[in-house]
Amino acid sequence: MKKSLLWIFAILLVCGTGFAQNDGGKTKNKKQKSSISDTTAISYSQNDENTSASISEGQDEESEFGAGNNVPSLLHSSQDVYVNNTSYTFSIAYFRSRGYDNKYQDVCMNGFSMNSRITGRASYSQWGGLNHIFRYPENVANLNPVSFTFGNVGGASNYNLRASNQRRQIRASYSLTNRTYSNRFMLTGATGVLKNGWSVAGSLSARFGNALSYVEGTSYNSFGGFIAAEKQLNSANWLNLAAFMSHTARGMQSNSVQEAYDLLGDHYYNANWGWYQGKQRNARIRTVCEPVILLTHTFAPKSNKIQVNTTLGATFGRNNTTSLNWYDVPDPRPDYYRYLPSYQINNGDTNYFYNNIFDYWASNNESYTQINWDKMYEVNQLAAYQGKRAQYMVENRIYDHLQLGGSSNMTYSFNDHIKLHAGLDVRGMKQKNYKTINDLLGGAYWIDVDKFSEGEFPDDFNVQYNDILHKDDTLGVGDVFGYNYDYHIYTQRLWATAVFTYPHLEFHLGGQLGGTEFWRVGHMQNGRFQDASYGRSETEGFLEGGGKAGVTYKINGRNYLVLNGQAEAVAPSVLNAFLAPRIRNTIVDNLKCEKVYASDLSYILSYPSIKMRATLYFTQINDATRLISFYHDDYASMVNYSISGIDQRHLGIELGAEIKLGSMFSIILAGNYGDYRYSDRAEVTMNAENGTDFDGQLERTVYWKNYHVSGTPQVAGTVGLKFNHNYWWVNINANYFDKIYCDLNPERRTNTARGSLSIDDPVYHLIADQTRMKGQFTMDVSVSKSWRIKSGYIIGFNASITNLLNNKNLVTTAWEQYRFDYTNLNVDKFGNKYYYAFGTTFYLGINFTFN
Amino acid sequence: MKIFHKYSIIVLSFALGLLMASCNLEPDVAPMPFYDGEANTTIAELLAMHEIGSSDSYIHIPEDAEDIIITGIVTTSDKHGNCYKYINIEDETGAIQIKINSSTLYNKYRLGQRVFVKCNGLDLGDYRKLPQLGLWANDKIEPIPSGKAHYYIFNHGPIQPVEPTITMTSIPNANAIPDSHYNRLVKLEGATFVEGGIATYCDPYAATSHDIKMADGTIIAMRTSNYADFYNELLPTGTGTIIGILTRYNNNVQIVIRDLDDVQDFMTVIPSQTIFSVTDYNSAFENGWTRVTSGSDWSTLVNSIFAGFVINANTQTDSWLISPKINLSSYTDVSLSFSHRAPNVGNNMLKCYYTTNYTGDVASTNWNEVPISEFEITFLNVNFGIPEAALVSPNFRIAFRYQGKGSMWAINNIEIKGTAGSIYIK
Repeated sequence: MKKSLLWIFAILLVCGTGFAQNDGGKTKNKKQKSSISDTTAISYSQNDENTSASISEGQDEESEFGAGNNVPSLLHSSQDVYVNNTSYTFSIAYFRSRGYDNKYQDVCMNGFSMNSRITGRASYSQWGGLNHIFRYPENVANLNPVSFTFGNVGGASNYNLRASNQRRQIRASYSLTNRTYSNRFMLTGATGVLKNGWSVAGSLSARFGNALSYVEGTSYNSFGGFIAAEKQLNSANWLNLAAFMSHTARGMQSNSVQEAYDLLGDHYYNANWGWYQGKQRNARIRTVCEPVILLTHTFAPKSNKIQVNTTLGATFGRNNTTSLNWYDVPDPRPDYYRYLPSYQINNGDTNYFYNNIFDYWASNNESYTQINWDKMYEVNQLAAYQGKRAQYMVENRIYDHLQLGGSSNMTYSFNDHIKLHAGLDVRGMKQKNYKTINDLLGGAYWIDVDKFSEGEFPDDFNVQYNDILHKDDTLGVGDVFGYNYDYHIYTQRLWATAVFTYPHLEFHLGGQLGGTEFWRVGHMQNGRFQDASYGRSETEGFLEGGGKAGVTYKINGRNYLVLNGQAEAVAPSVLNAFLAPRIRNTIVDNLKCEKVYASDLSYILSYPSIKMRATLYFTQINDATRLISFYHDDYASMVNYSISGIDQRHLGIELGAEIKLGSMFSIILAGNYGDYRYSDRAEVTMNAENGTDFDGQLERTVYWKNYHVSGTPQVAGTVGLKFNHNYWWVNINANYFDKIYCDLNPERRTNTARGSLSIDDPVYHLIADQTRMKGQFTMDVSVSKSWRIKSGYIIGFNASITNLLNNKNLVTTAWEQYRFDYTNLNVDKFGNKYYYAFGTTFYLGINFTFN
Repeated sequence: MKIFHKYSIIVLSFALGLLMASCNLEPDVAPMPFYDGEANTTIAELLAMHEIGSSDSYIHIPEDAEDIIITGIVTTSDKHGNCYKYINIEDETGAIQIKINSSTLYNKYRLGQRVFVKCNGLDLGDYRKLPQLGLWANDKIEPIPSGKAHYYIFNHGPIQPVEPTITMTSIPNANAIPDSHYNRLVKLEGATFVEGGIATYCDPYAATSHDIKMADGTIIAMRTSNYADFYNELLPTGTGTIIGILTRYNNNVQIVIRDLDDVQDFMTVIPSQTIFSVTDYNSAFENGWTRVTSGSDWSTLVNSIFAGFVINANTQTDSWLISPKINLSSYTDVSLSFSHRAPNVGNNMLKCYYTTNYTGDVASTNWNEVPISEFEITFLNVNFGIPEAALVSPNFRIAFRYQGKGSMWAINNIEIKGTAGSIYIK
């Protein structure tokens, strides 16, 4: 199947060059300075421990002009008055347009989709730091018709990486900031189109230094490079090769419970580091290097009737996050619940231990409040001395991937009124998921057993081993352990969108058809699931499809009404398809495509002095799936919790307005009032990784209808003043964020958790009610200016201060721990975890351009 | 204003209407537990399936046989640790103990919860003639594994108040008590603890039985686990009511309480309170402690490890340290305690006294000695019950006297505790 599709693709590639005429008349959306957004490191949180899939740990931001963008923006459209004025301003609060996960936005490069076939999200860290190149994507907001791909409900963007598209110039920039890194250098050169038809462009970038970084114990080292060369073969054909990579190693920030933050008086307490040999050592280092190579053929005859872009792409590389691991010893994480004073109170000790522990925290005794590396070395060395296994170690959690594929898109103009965009995309991907030993911390060796299985099955010795094929191995640094499996994913897409343009009416109609197949290959024979862990799983296949349509009624040259809609069925992510992907081949029952229905209705004003858009949007997502895993106290094991039938309804209004006051000033008013909720109950299948209940899977219903979907403020607004005169740009904004909800632990909304508690019982409400954070104000100011020194030489500077009032109470991410205290029904025992937006940060940049 | 077209009004009102409608939705509520089935067997009928013999035995209830489903209300709680790894349920006909391998059942099978039990696959047996439901292994009924309990036991509906249905004023012979009464929640009226006011509920290291005497002189044993969080409390005196689970151990009749709320209407021991202590040694001499000195003098020492009185005599010394007057006239059961160390002490050098008639002159005062049995290099505690005769006076004082030389004496944690009024109330 997939082979034949690859052949079809190859044929189309050849045929594409035979088509005739006409450029698509594509407009490039040059962004205004204030809204340039930069790369964002989306976390690769593939069900990483206790984090929900949408949480990013640590951020990367800072654009050339001080525009940081924590959440990869769904708001790119440069011509849109709402998007322009909110994309940077709202990023401090992790605002997500319409409450969408990032996977609902398509990101392409030369038409080749960069959205991961596994997470669904584009990983901006792949081109982190290369801002000179990745500055001006072509953006299409939300449900509008797209020329280079079918488009997702959150919009689509395309980076043009053709060397001929890079302006002929040399450009150098330096920036200084106190956010996640201190320094950034960038150097870029491009030849423009030379007489012999060649164009070459290259860029280098470095981001490093933690002297000023906002969170203690974090580090940042990133180096990136880009190269592209293009040759015009004849009047209609171009061939471009582009390759880029970014190698980034970051010491990450932890999230913690409010108790720890309060005790230390610091919302940026980072439990990930501890002193080791006089230096701060971080246990959670994420190293990502995933290069991309794109070979693009462009067919664009002068007549502009047709344009065909075809890209063959390869992406590969490694995403590795280190983490502590331990066996039969106390949890080394300093903010573990047993190390907090409240645990002593809960256990009825308000005196001895409580006082001691309280003092450690209150005085910030760093041998207690940070990771105690020395203690771990001591324990391990002692064990090694006795010939015993190591009990602490640092592990690598590795994802290696290789993806090969191609996509082609074309635009054909039938006449002045009708234009057709169409394309296809075929690709295959393999991702290896495994753990290796990074550092034994002075210990002798490691044995690969599941600590929660040991002792559960005294009559079956094999059960405890993660790999019974290698159960007697003593493992050392670099050895694979824990789990080791591959995902194989193949996808195919065909799409077309027709756009019709008439004097008072524009409309579009499009459709997409595709398929996804995936399977798992296990490389370990797990002792708990000996018959369903090793080798290849069954293949799951899904037929996908979608349609979109929209109409714009041009009332007059100043007033427009736009109605758009899109419906799609998308295969579930492979991440959610297996009951216990780390150790089992078993596929979740009744896997279904996720269905997305989105529509919006806009009223747009376009006067020279007033620009405004007001939009009502409505999105229904049905049958989404999610897999979470966590420690379940009732079963004393890690459990996998496969949630299916997640239905969400996102409803709201967006308003953006820009009013000019004379030639130099404008006033900005923009905001979103959203209401994002689960619209129905969800179903759960739960199973324990330690093998308790081998065949019995627990079925549960999650009663969370009408609870709020988290991950973004649902209300955000800004009032701003812009000044622009003689190459001076000044922006001042006051922002407000509200309806920030804590992410739900589904277990707390089951009838198991409720038991027979009366709805009038305060304990019921402690368990079931959703936490809402307080609304918060922030202010930002930015200034930039550029000078032409002499012809062809431009020097520019920019400075910005974000969160001018140093508000440290804006929660960006909040979630309930999945661990739940069934014994005492005490929700504070495993309290909510929070990330707070940084207080005041600055960003200074200087750049020099010669062309 | 001409800027906005009339359509904008339509769009905006539509938007607001939809939003208003959506924003006041009540969050979902997980339903009460519900068992979709009916009981087809009473507990008495279930108990009748197993004949209790001279030694422990059981019958297996086969999985592939016809369903045997009982229902009842939970009458036990392990919240306080006394009902360990089991729940009891009862219906109108009888009661049964169900063993489950978890020590935290009280929020899972709450007191007053109706449960349905599908008995197929379980074993019904007895332990020393007390009926139990569980899994037979090792010649006894073992608990159902915690992770498997949900296959057999199903909660249903809300919590109901649980009251004992049987009141006993006399304890018959174990075999004279109907089988349907065992494992039930019962109420004993007119009960007296034989060791009330003397013994604690349980010894620290083993489950303990304490006899309860009924008004007619018959006896029942109260069985308490050392894991009960109230094990170290004193048994109350007087006569009262005891609620608990009626059990037997062969031919001994026993009761197991769930917590101290099950022990009602007895005399209550009033906990003693601190009447006098030194909270601030720095200003002790301003606050009424006086010294009568010959040779080395008393002083106070306060540092991070120690706060108290100290005397260190290199020359021949006879120095007194006398407390301010303390009014003990309204207290009973008064005791004095302090800790002290004396590294190098000769015979009769260091003394503690109390008096009720301090004259201002140590020589003319009648001193009563508080015996100090040991002097050590490490701190030792001294506890002394003050005789009732001394309590009448509002002029009670204590004193420390150092006679001789060559040793240091450090004293701290001086405290006088007692009970205001009677130590018991009903």
